[in-house]
Amino acid sequence: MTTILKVENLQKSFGNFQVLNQLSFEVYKGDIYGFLGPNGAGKSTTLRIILGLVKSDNGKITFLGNTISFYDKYYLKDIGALIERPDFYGNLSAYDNLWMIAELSNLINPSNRINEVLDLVNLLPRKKSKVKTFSQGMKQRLGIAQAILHKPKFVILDEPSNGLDPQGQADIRNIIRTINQHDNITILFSSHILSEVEEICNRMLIINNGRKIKEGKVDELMSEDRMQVSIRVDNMQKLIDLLSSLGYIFFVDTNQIFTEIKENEIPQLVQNIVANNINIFEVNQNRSLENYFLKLTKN
Amino acid sequence: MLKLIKLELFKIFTRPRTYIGFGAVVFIVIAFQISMYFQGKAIVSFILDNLETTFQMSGNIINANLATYILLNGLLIHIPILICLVTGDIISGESSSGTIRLWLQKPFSRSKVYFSKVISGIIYTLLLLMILGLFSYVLGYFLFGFGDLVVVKQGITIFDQDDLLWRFFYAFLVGTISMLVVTSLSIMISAFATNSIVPIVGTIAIIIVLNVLTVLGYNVFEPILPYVFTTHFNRWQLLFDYNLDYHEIATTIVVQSFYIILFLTIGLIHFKNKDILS
Repeated sequence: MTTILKVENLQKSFGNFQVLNQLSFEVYKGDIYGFLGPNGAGKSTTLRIILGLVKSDNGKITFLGNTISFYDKYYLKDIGALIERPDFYGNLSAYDNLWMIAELSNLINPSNRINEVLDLVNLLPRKKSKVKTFSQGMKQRLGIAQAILHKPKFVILDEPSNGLDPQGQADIRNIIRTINQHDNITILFSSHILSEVEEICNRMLIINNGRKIKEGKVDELMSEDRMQVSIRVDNMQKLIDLLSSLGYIFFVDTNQIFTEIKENEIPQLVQNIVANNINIFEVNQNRSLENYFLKLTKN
Repeated sequence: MLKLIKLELFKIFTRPRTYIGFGAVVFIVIAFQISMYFQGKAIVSFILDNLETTFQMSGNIINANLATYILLNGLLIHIPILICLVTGDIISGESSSGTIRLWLQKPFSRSKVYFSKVISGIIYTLLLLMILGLFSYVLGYFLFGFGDLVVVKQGITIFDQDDLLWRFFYAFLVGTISMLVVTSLSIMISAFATNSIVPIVGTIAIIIVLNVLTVLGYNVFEPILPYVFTTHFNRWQLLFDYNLDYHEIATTIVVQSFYIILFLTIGLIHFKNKDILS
């Protein structure tokens, strides 16, 4: 695995308030790297430091093997970003906003590329509309379009689904998957919508109070934790007897049974139920990243 | 750098606010010259301090030269307001709207971004003054024609029409330097501020306060007044002395240039090091 971004012992204070405390993490090439933390955990500050918008007090950031400096912005040619909210010139059209960014990025014959990214984010029919007439979701999609316009190797997306309805969030997730898989862009994805991280990220970092709490592959981190599983079967009494004999702690609702279990134990439990001639109608895992996240950050 | 300047100018000239300044200058010139057309004698009397009761004036006293000379006095307060509308907003406006991030997350040093904004602000200022000067001169010509210019300062000086064009040219240059002090002051405040109001109001407030101190506190502040930049805002009038005081003109240029460099340097140092939190 090639490291594309390495953050080591990052520190930042605003006055007496320490925002980041010895924060370290690594993003590998090809990752969709989830960046999680409660409000005020230091996510945006970290992303701003990576982008040279905020100066760190201490620490080292290496991008594509080179140590980056606050005063040397050359490395930014390989990075695209959407930080917090997408801000554009409202009196200009979507096309003109992207044209300015294309000019900044030295794109040759930018028109084709602008149309290409507008098409990707489903804004091509509105390219001549002024941005001030756009909905929040359209602005977010335009924000992603500007982030990938210059074909960067690495894209930082800070809460790109913020304020969107479920359809808008799904659109954003699809776009992120597309640019990661189709354009081979590594993505650092910060979100407070934890299910999103669970759904699209392969690796993740959880921070709280500016410190790293956990870092690793999403599926491995998830399998560490016990989850709640609900089971609906044809013979409730037989299932109760089975779970009691296997030593599970459970409780019974009207027509289903809830129990706490690790993810990797689910297949074995299902096999046991089937082996006892109990017909399964439904098995749902109710544990989510939310529970895991809350548990970690609460601690 | 050229690309950044081009884009800055694109932004400036696609904003309605920019044209308020140009529109206001055109309106001021038209309004003044029309009133001069209809109330010329009263205005001349006011300007000549009723000297026409002592001297007999003949010829075309109300002309394009006089109109332009009077309008140049707008450099003291009115034109700075119009300059600040655009230059005060040039950094702070983007900080408050968040669009500054679009620029600072691109591979350009902050110094380049800053100077592209400074140069665009200077170009806007120059355009504003060019419109003031040229429009006043051209409209004045069509309404009144050309003629000799009567200037009343410590005494009366009458300049021949043929002796005026170069004086106006250099007077505008000196006046332009004064207005560039305003431009750099507003850009400096803009680098510190996070909204557009502070630099616009702040710059105008500083100019008004310094002007008031200059007038009301003349006796108290006299020793430092030559080093206060607002003192030099009407020094373009030095070009309308019969014998030019080159030392005074050079002093004005040096003092104002010092302030331009000072303000822009302070703004640059802050802009280069500030955390962008918007």
